[in-house]
Amino acid sequence: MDRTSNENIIAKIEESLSVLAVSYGDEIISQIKPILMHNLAHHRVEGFSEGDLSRIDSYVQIVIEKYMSLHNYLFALQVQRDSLAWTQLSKKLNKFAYQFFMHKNFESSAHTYQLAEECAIDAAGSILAAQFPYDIDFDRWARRIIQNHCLRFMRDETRKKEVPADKIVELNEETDYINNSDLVQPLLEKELIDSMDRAIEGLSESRQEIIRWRYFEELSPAEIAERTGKSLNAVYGLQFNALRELRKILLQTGITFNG
Amino acid sequence: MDNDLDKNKSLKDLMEDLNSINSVSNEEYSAAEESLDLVVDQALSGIDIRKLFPKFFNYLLRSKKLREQFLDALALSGSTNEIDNDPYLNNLRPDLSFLQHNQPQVSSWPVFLTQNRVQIINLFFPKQATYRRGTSLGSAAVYTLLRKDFTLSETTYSIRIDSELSNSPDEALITYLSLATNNDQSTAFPINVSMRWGEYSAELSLQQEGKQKLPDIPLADVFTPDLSRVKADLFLTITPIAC
Repeated sequence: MDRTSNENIIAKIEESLSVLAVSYGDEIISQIKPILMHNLAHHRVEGFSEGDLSRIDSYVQIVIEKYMSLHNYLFALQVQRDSLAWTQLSKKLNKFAYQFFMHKNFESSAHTYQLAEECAIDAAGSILAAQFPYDIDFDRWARRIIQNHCLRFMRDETRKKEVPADKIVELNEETDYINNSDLVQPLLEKELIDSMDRAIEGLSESRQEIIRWRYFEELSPAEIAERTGKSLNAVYGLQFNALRELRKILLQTGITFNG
Repeated sequence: MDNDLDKNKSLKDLMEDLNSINSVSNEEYSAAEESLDLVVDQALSGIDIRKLFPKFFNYLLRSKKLREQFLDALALSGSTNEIDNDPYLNNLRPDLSFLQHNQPQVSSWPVFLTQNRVQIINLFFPKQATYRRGTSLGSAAVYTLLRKDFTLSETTYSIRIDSELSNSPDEALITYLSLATNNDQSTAFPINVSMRWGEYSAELSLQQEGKQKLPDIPLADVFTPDLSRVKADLFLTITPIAC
């Protein structure tokens, strides 16, 4: 994000805060501002607004409300290190970690319990020291932290088992798709439409459906999930896979992409 | 005619997404990863990420790692019902020993805490951009000058000093001190806290645990005139007034 956009966001935050100071009082606003600035520095405000300054008002409002409802809890966890609060949270972290490993098809075994516990302890250490952004539910934030710890653990283990460190070569996962110059072959619209139609027909039925629903019927992932009974992550996953396969088919037919 | 227009628009959208599938830089990945949980939250509430968060969606198409994290987060966002009755997890006694890490034991009052100049310089002028952007003074907006815990007579005290740059013409750091304990019955209060940093010094009396504002710290008291260096270490002395 360039300096100007950053300055625009800061100006908009200031504006929102001065309006909200009337309802919430200066005391709260003075405590919220550093949190907002911290979140700004960590790309969270930018991530939420995606360049749309009109979203900043709701972002600031969310932070104020979460601060008012969660500040005492965070104070008990991070400053007072309240053992009751930590006992409850640690149990939850263990569950989150165990659930993660089950999702990744680990066996239900004493070893997996132990892994979950280790990751939960690491995540607890991170939570103890981290600055809570107050723009999200605490559990969602904690889940993300534990997810990162579990993923890191899995990646470390995979590396240790499979390839000696000095043999690891970072492969670009998208190697197949890069190094194509700009759309160098300007296609006639009709040709493009025909190629696209043929490429879509080359997809599996479920991938054809997802492309049709998402792009031609403009259904949202939530609507598709409801229509098909699939989970939201399955719908997003299907869309990502369909797009990647479609691109591969189009590349094979001679169409090139930006990048 | 309308059908043709609709189809063209759909194809254009589809081509845009297909064009997006490419490698993602580390910087872009980091920025997107920072707001992953926020976007997951929005997706779970039924928002179409492709429409409302097109930039993030673009990153998802380009980064396998981010996609994996996003899909995992969506999959794991539900309840933990299936393991709520797990006997092992329910009987687990969480290991809370990490709460005691880095807590120096002190034997008596007063307690002296220090943050040395190098630590402070790293805070204000990190060698690597802490937040992956500008490293000039003011780029972080909030600075934790000191965050320490100590244990005395079986009570753990946590102290934290946060500051932010003021907007006033006479530039200063607006500073707050928080002190908390894990023991409601602590007899140490009221406590006197004395802070000395360069040419700045201040004293504060705390009747109970909580957060209190310190007098603002003029930048000239603690930074060199060109605001590129920190003048001195920071010292804090904590003494129960009854002592």
